[in-house]
Amino acid sequence: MLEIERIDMRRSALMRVSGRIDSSTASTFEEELMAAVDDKGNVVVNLAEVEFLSSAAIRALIAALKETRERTINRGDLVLTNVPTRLKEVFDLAAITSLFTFYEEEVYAVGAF
Amino acid sequence: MWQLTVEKATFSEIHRILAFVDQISAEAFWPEREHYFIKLAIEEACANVLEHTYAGRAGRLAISVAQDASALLTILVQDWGQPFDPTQVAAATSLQESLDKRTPGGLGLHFIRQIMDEVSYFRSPEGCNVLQLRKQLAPP
Repeated sequence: MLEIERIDMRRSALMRVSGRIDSSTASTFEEELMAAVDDKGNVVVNLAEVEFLSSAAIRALIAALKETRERTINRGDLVLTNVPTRLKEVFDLAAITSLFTFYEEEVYAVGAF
Repeated sequence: MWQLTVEKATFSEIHRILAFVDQISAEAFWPEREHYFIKLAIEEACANVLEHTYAGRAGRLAISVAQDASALLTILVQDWGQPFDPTQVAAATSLQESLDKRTPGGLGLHFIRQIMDEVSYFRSPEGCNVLQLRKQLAPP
């Protein structure tokens, strides 16, 4: 089960995700991310309520990150916030922690744009 | 020993597999961190079967989990598709390639290798692919 609440801020889309981002839900997650990138350019993903995340979720996040950075108009970024310890370990396991900017709190992540 | 067989496995059955691992964890008293990563390894192994061996078709998938008295964990993930050794794919895959999506499944296998102590493949006499994962847990 995956739930995504999206709030459009002035310069970014804030996505509060909850549940599981696994191989069965990652495609929905990626579609929502891409739609947010298309609409706002910058995306803040809050993972506080995500209980499980697999490699499929990482691929979706990387695809969306690339999309934000490769745009010629409205070049943007995708940042992560409120990432639980276990999930952070999964990013470390994938050796891609340096690709993303991690924030401790949503307000700072949104404020970065 | 715990066993789960999903006769017509597709991605929509992944939640059943995750719930199965949650149940084992509760019965075997795995610490929370071990629980998370073992669940991740099993999810990745099953996702690879669904994506590559069955390639979108529904197929039979069986998972068995055993833990002996010394807390050595042995997990078997079996499918009845064409012979396919995922450990060979992983050997030829760099992490960067898998991130670029050019080699799907590479990142999942990378996770499995990082989490488990031993990852091996064999084709069983009954004609199924068996991925065997082993991990020594902290003894109780």
